[in-house]
Amino acid sequence: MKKILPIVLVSMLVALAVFGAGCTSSTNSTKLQLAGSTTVQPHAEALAKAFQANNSSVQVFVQGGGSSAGVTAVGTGTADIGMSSANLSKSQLSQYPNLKAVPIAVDGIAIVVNPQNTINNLTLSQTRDIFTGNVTNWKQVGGSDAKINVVNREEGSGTRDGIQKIVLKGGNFSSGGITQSSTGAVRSYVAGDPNAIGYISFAEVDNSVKALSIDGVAPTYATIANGTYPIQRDLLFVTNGDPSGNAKAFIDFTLSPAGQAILKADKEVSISDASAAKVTTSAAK
Amino acid sequence: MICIKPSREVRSLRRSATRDIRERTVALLLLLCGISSVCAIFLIITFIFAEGLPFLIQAGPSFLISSVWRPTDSFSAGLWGIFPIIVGSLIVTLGAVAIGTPLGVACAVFLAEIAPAPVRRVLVPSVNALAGVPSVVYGFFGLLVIVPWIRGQFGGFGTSVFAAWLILFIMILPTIISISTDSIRAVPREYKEGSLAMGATRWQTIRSVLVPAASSGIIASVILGMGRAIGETMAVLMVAGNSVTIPDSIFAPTSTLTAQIALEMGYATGAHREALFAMGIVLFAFIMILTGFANLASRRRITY
Repeated sequence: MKKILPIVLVSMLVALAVFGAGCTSSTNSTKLQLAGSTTVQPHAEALAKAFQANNSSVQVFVQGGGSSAGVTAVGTGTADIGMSSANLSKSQLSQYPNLKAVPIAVDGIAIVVNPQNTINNLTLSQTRDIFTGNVTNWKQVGGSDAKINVVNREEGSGTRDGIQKIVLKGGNFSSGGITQSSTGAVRSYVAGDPNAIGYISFAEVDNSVKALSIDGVAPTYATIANGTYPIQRDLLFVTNGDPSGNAKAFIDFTLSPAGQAILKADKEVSISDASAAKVTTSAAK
Repeated sequence: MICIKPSREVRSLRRSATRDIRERTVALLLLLCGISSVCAIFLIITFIFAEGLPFLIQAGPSFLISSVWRPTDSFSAGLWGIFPIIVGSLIVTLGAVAIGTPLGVACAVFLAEIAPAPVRRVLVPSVNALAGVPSVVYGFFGLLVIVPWIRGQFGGFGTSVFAAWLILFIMILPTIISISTDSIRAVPREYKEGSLAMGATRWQTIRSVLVPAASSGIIASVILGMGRAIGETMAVLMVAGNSVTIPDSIFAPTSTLTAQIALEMGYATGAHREALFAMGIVLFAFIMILTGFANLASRRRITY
């Protein structure tokens, strides 16, 4: 026992040194790292799987973390491609001036309520009133007499950012709601609370929640593609400088018919189907 | 010079010399391990302060006393108020401790003094198992069982101060129970025997002799439990609702420092990120104060 102890200690130190060194070793050229938006993440994983089937030498790693974290990761060189569900902000562009963004799909943001809720349609301004806290009872928008339980995403979320820009027109969210940290958490909360309202990517809507029509237009592939459904944003791939090597190959694959078909299967609107006016170019506002 | 076989003394001296080297090597390695853990805490402190302190100085006291938290707006002093988050942290922590302490201490008294050996053999491992359950599992349980129950019984969101209390008090029980049990067991036998010999009943002995004599350990256990409660992140994040408002009832949602940091860290950039580190400094200050109290309490000696 006495003899084992120093051996164990030494081997621990050696292991530490080896692994420590391993972490800093230079990046392999056949490795492609994606990071960012949790909205884009599942699609990027599906794209990576298909991409690797044809390019077995390239290993694609897809990581979440959020839109901002993804942009920062690209700016600092930690990731090759950043995934973002919000346009690049001025501060991001001033910090990393070489950032280039490519829209890969158009994503609708669905306003979701519990399936028991009798409301099927809201106007854009009613939706704004609910999220800013001007309207707090379902009765005020034609529903039953019950308090509206607003479910938000956290500060910095691309989806929250989209709602703030498109629905709230830059106004502020009421502080009365609760905050859930992911699309899935918002959906499961709304599925469990008859009086809840929240917002999630259209691609993530399932039977557990009901997506409301906005101004009489239900969110569907067609209405998002032709721009009549008003709450939508571009999903972006961000690179530092013009994409090259594996990053370019991956982005080209994503924009190819095969790549767009994968996004389409996930209910994201293909860039080629989206109305030209809606596809904003990368550069921030 | 005459060459002689080394004497017994010399040989034993040599043996002790090699033994000495071996012992020193082991001592050195252990010292390195000790230093590395100290280095870790030192590095963490340095990092948090380097990232958060400039922001804390720039934002000034309004950071602590203002109530509006809108980090993604452009920088202006009023929008960086974490007062509701500090209040939320304190309410959640103190409430959980207030529920957990009587239960935990009662359980400790039972385990140390009353429980027959077979019962103890079942209870002690169960309490320890409670300590081993990952906090995300507590959170998930809270989200699926406690939150819907509160929503059904009391209305509102369900995710609330009350839900956080219910989850946290269970999580701090093992800390309170195990340390309190140890400190009650550590009371000298003579105290108990003396009390019983003077005709005191079992309950009088427990109430007037054992618990007061073990009070320093019990207080330390409560403060350590409080430290666990204030530091708990995942479970609270899942059941508290994370609303940056001062809750107006125990069934209203609230947010805590740890949960807010975890919630926004992934997305935070620039000043927002620094603000989260500044929140880390505030949290650190709370925990240092608690640890200080724990040390004071456990050092206190009962004298008769």
